[in-house]
Amino acid sequence: MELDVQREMRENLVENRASNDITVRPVTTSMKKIFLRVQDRLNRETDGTPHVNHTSHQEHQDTYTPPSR
Amino acid sequence: MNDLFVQTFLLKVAARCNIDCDYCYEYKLADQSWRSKPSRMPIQVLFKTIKRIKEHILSHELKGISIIFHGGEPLLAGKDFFEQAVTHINGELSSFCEVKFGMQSNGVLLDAEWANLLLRLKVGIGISIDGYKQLNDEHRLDYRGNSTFPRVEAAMKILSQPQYSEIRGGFLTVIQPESNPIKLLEWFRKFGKTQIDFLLPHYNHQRKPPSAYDAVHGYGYGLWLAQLFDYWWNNDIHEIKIRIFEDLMHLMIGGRYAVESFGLSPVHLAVIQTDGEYEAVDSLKSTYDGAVSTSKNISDHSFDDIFSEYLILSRTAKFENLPEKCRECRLVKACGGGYIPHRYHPVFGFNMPTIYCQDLIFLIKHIEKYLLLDEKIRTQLVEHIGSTPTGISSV
Repeated sequence: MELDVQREMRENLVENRASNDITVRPVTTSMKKIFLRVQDRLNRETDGTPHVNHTSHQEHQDTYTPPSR
Repeated sequence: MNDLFVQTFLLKVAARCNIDCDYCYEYKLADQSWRSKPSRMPIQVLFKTIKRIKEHILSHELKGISIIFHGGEPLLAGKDFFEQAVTHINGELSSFCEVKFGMQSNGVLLDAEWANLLLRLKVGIGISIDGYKQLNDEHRLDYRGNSTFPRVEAAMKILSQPQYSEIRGGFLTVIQPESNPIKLLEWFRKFGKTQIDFLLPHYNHQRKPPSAYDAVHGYGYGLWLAQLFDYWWNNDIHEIKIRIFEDLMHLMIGGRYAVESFGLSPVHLAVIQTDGEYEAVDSLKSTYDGAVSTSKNISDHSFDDIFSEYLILSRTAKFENLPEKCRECRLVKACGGGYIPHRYHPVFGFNMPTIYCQDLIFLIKHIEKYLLLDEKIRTQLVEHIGSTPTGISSV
C-alpha cells in the first residue's frame, strides 16, 4: 500500500477514537423503514416461516426477509 | 425435532486457491491440514456425500437444505464438475426436499461464461473482496504479489447486471479498522442493490488484533462498525443490506435465527473436505493445528455421528458452552459470546469471551440507542436484552 494511504488510514483511526461524537438523531422516515423491516422479519420468524441460520462462509440472498410491506 | 441435525452442507470442492491472501484461515494460519488433502473433490466423493445427505434428510424429515460449494477457490473445481454435481444432487434430492445452492468465490476466475453456467444451475455466488483497490491490495494479492482487484471488480460488474440478480449473493468483506467505513460503503454502492457481510478478522486470545486496545472501544472494530451504522442508518441507504446490523437488531428484539457468528441458536452446519472427511467449522483453522479434524468420514460415518465431536456439539448448545462471564451478560442473546474461533485461548481453550467482546459491547449498545427511539421496539429490547428506556446500563 502506498505510504500516503497508510498515513490516511492511521489518521482515520486516531480521529475516530478521539472524536467518538456519535449522536442519535431524531426519528426520520428513513429510520421508520428500518424499524418496520426489523419488525417484519421478527414477525415472519414468529409466524413459523421456515428459517435457517446462515454461515459466515457466504452472503446469502435469503439471509434477509424481503423489504417490508 | 431435536437440535442435532445439519441443514447447511459446506462442501470443500477445491482445497487450493488461486490467490494468496495473507490472512487466509485455510492456508496461512495455525492449521495446515490442507497440505494432505486432495486439491479437488473427486466426483465419487461428492456422490457418496450426497448419499449421506439424502440419508440425513430422510431421517430428520428436513424440508429444505443449503449446499454451499466452498474452498479454497471453488471455481477451480471446473465447469464440468459443477454441471455433473448439481445435476446429480437435483436428481437425488429435489423431489422431496428444497435444495438451495450457493458458493463463495474470490471472483478472479468468474467471467460471463461462468456466470451463465451458475445461472442455469441456479447456484448463488458471493464474492469476497475487501473494498476499493487500496484496501483490497492490503491482504488479497496473487502468488506473484500482484493486485487481484481488477479481475474481481470485473466479476462484480458482471454479476451486477440484471440478468444475474437471481444468483447474485453479495459480498464478504474483512474489516480494516484503520480504513474509512463511509468511503468504503460509498464504493460498494456503485454496484447497486446488494448485501455486505463485514467480517471480523480471525484473531483470538493467542494471536491478538494488531490495532491498539482501549477499554471503551476494544480494538477499534466496534467503533468502525458504529460509524458505518450511523452513516447507513441516517442516509436512507436501503439498497445496501449489512448483515451484521440486520442480524444484531433481529437478535436484540427477540429474533432467533441469524448468521452463525451471533446469537444463541444452534448452528446446523457441517463441513466436508475434498477427501470426504468431516471437519469442524473450517474457520477454526485459525486457532491451532488440528482444530478441525474429526477423524470421521463420509464412507464410514453418518452426519449424526459427527455430533459426538465437542467443537460441533458446542455450536449446537451454544449457551451451555459459554464462559460464565458471557452467560451472565445481558447482551449474550445478541452476541452469543462471539464467533467460536475468536474465543480461542492457548490455556483456556474456547472457554473465553470473544477477543472482540468490548468491540461488540460498544457496537450493540450503540445500535440499542437507535432502536430505543421506537416505542414498540423499546418494549422488545427491555424484554429480551434488559435495556433500560434510556439505554444507560452497566454493561
